[in-house]
Amino acid sequence: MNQDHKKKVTIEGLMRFKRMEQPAPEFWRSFDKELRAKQLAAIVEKRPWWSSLVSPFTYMRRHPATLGAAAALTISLVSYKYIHFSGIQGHGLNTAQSEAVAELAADTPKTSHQENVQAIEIAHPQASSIAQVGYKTSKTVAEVQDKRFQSTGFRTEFSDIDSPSARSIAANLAAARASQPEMISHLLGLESHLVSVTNADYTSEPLERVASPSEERRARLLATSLPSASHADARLGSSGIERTLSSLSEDRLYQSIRRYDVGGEKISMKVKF
Amino acid sequence: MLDAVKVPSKTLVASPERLQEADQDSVIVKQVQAGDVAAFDRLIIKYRERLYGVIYHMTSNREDASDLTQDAFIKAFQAINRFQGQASFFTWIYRIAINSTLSHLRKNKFKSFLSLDTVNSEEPVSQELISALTDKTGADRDTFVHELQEKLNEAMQKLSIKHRTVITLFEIDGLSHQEIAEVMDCSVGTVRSRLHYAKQLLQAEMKAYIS
Repeated sequence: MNQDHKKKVTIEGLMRFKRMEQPAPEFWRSFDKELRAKQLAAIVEKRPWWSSLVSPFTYMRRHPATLGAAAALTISLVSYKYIHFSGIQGHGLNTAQSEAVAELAADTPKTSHQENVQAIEIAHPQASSIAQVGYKTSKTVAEVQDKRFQSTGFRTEFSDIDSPSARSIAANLAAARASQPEMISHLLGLESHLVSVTNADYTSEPLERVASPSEERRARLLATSLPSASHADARLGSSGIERTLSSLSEDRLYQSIRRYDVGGEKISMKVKF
Repeated sequence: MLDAVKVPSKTLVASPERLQEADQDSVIVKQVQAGDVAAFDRLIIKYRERLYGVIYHMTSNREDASDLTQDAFIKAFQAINRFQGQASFFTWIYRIAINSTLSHLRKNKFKSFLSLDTVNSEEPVSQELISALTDKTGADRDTFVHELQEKLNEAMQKLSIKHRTVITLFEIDGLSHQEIAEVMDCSVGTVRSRLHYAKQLLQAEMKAYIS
């Protein structure tokens, strides 16, 4: 190597020399052909299964602020809904439990006791009035319970549905009724129903308001031995029934039954003058 | 006066030529995104030689360079709808190419071999350097050139991948420190440091040719 020339060579000069390494012009023809084939293959190529999963993440990475705001809004809405709903649902569950008690107190005796009373009435007309008192007592509990629900506005037409969603709908509807009764009643066309609900003399069965002459007679007979039983007449209002409930103890009721001495197919009654 | 609004937010490129290029590329990219697939060919023709050159000098293998350049274009074509213009197309496709090449080099760290393109010794730059290094003529001169080329590529391959990339982009492709920093996703200081270290290593390897 020429030492004089060598002094002029630098690393930058060598790199410029390296830049002169270039492919022949025909190389680009084959390059273009191969690239075209690859490009077509890429267009036709079936996309991998995970590409659909990747695209949302790509969008998320591209719009972090928008997604963050949307996520925050969603979380706040859900949490608000959850807190609000859980409060109502807690109340709604208690209401549902109370309603279940009321239904048990009203409906179960209605089926079993009413049948029993009818059976006794056929065999022993006097004793059946005692059974009627027992039945009415349980029914009165249900009615009182019902009225309490009506006053708080939690008695709805969904109360006989046991599913949690139905209970929650009922609770929400009741809450809405409590806050805006006019609008809800107008929207749902339940105005007449609400009027009947707010009526103080509420009874579930209209026929039960009508007392038969036999019941009046039995009530008169019982009045001497069981004074409070005379107040248990079906014609009396709820206040009378409530008084009966408060004054009628179980011991006294059993004593009254013993006085009639019901047994087998006969009945004996002790009468004092 | 340059229209600052048209400058992509992340692009550090400041030269007017580069800005004009970025604008032109942006128009073509929008055409491709609108469904004009043939418009992508203009981008290929515009950048294929530069991309190939960078990849070739990093790999010192023309077949690998060809494949990697094609792959870079295919990747860019497939992802063109995700290109939002935050960086210039030039920077974007360079990143794709560099990342593909780095990945390839890492995978084939111990399997690399030289497959060199012919040096265009008729160019004034080549002639000047060759005449500075030797007085040989004819076949001897060609042998000398071939030997020098091999030595130079071997020296390049002795550099780490990152140092090789920096010196290729700066000395061969002519990118600025800022552009290299943007393409390699590192600071300008890191680029300068790597460049300095790479030059020192190359000088040590090529000391037989450098005074």
